[in-house]
Amino acid sequence: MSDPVFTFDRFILGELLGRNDDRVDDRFLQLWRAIYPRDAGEERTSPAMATALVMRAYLSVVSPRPAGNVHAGQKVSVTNLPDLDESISTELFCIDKEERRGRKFVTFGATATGSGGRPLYSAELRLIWAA
Amino acid sequence: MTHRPIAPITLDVNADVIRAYAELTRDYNPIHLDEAFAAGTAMGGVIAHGTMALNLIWQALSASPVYDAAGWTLEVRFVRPVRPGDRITAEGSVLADGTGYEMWVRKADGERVIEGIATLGGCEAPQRRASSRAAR
Repeated sequence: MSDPVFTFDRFILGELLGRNDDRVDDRFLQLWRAIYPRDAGEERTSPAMATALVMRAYLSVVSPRPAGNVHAGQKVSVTNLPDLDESISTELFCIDKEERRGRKFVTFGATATGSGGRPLYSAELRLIWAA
Repeated sequence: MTHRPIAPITLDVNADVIRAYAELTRDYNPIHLDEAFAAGTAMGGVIAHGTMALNLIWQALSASPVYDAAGWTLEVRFVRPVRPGDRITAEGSVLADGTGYEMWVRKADGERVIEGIATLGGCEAPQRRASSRAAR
């Protein structure tokens, strides 16, 4: 049986929704360079990559989602950058939810750590939740 | 903080770039990839992933002389969609109070698609909002 859809009512403030393990591997770099050619000569990670990694973690952990969500805003703080191929562990929380003017807003917090638990980056994703 | 200009960085958005970004982020939402599906939504057609444009702000910021280390925070709002065929440019200017940079991404016609603020410091783990409102 498939997991139930993450609806607005299911989110509990402060609840750990899950963890995602990831890394900046060769395929990541290949795709990144295809999208952002100015980084083609770089052999290291960049702060911009943190945003993509946060999205991977969010999409992996908060799934399945209702159709029609809208990404309204995002905050990312970079403390350290991951090394290439370093293991990255990201925890996802629900940190806010509210209904305002007929719209449902959900804010997720993400905290990423690298090898040995060293802090990498954190983020907040604010979405208009469809259901 | 020494205030220096943020040099603009431009990206041409097309279907190939969007497909690559979908694979990179594993976000295969048909609003980004399926013209027939997207045409039937409120967006009226395919739109690019918002964070694809957001990354351009980070690139502009990190390529500037002011960015010499990690420790920056970037907070943005996605205000308009980006579509295939758009040429988007990330740039920024010093905030009036000197505490950071106003950053944005605009289309070729000047219309902004992302607006935000970049500041040095302020890194902290996300916290449950003290003022969180219960769902009503």
